[in-house]
Amino acid sequence: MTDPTGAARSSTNSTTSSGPSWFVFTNYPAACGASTSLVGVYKINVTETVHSLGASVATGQFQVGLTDNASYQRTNLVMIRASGYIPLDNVTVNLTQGSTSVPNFPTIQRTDTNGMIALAWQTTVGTLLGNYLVTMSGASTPAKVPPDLQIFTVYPTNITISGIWLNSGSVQRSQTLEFRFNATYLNGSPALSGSAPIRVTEPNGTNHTITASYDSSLQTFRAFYATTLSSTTGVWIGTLDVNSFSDGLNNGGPLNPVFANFNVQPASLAVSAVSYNATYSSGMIVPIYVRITTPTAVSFTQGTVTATITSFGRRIAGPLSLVYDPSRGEWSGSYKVNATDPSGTWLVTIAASDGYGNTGQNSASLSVNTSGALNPTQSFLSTWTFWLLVLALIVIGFGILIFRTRSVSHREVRLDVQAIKHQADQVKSDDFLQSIQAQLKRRTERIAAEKEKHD
Amino acid sequence: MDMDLEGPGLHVFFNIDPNELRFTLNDVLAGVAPPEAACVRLSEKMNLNGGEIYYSPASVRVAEIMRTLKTGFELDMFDNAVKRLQEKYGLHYLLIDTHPGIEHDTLLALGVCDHQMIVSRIDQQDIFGTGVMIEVSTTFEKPIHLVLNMIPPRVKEAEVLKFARIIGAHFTVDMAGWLPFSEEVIGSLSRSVLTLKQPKHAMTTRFRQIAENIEGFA
Repeated sequence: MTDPTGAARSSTNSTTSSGPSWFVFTNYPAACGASTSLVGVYKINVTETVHSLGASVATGQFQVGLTDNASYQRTNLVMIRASGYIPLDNVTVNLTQGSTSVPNFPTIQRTDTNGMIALAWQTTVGTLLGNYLVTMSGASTPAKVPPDLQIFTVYPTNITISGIWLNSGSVQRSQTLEFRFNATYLNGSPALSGSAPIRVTEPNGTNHTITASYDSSLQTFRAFYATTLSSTTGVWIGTLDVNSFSDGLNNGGPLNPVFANFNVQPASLAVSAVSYNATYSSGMIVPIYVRITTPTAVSFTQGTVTATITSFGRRIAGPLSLVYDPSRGEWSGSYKVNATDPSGTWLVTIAASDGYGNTGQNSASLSVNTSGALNPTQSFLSTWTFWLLVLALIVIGFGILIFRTRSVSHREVRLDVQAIKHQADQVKSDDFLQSIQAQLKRRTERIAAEKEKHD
Repeated sequence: MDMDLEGPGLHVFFNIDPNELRFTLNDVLAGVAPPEAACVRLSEKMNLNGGEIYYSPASVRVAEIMRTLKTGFELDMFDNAVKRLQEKYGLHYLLIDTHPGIEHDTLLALGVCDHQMIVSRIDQQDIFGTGVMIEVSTTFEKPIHLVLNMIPPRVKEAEVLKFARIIGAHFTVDMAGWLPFSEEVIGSLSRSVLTLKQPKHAMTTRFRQIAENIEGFA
């Protein structure tokens, strides 16, 4: 064994060969009466003691340093240790980057009774990146040759993002989706600064990018994506790509992409009910004013809005096209009551739609008294024959019900699609499901890469 | 493969004493046993004239069930186990029986399988769960097949097909068949495989039709 000063020590081991090659073990420095108190390269040379005396059969080397690693990620603890000093000597330890000492350095540490010294330096998320130099010298210990010095490097730390939280697994067009996530450093402490782009992908593959930034009041990263009335319906994917996050201090992450799925559904337009207090007679104008809003309470201004007037199933007028009146912020239209129109209760049904499939509907009733006859249905309602018929139908209905009770149970099964999709959306946002999908994606990518490599 | 880790029960059909099993699927998922160690050859026991059949049991011991559920699941480990069984035994088909609900083991099976077959009764609870399962499964982009089960005797085939069409109108799913309620199947109390015991039974014919459908998947 040759230490960094060039001094050689040796130990002899006897072993019986078990073949053309075999292992032989020795402990350095104990077996050689040496030490590892000097930094630098220690060279190993194994020579034979019989057959070819002194012939080298194996060589090697190892390095002794002052730190437990040659490089560290920010937030790692740098362990510094040295030996070979006079017991209880005062040793000056300096840690510098370039020509500048790191805060709290140089420092004087006292060696223990074995002449050893040990200390640690905690890096932080903001520790300056690059090479650092540790040097040591004792007050009473003669200068070591080679001197105790060590270079190590500090790299950025990885940031982990375990998942993206969504305010809802399903939104209607025009609604805004909120993304939230927490970012943590290697040591588990949260990232409190920086930003990350979130790639929002439509079902047809079109990408949109939004930027998440830190919200100090909520102590989380947030981003918002506002859908429009023309947004594609279906399953959208929010993706935080690999290394897309930066904390502003050159630390980045995540190491694997993070996904969140959500469903975009057609908007259900809210149609305000028209209120009619007066009774209309022939020749009067029935005004129709409706306010239509999107799920985010914004006025619906472009599309098709119609009004259909009926009375007990009989169509009286319509569909009448309504026009948007910007000054009122409402859709308007009217109908003039004719003398031949039936008297009674009318129903005004408003239907709103646009070219993207967003729809809404509402209706209101009004009283009309014209010279025209009562609606045949209404006059029929007032006759005793009607009530007799109702009674007969009830009796027959009960009969059918009793007769078929046992056989119709299966027909009572209803397919509540909305409830099913709502429940499914909740499952789709489950962390484990997303983890499985992420693993599947990685596997697919890995297989594709292997195939490409093979080709 | 009995992947119903919460409540395994396939061993009853095959008349296997779970206490005699040295390793189970739970051990495979825990990484303490290779998948072939948790595989029981049933060809002789089932008196098969041709072909081979293997059964991969899940543990019925509560402690092991809890251990597996707590430890969690890793897709690659399960995927590798499935592939190893396919290669080791030259399997043409590997049927994974899962828990009747959306649990982690169900999702794991969904991630690995090539086709998904859902067996559902037509009561409100099952149909709701089936709808949710189909919706969730679509995210895996794998073919989904539906078998309606235990159809009450009074329901006509036309009504079953009509109901199947209603489901088909709302969800992307293939109707692989339907099975009427059978006193004989219930009467066997899960103690045996009906198709082997009564090869000429009407239910056996229906099971064969579904099996032929499955052969068509490939």
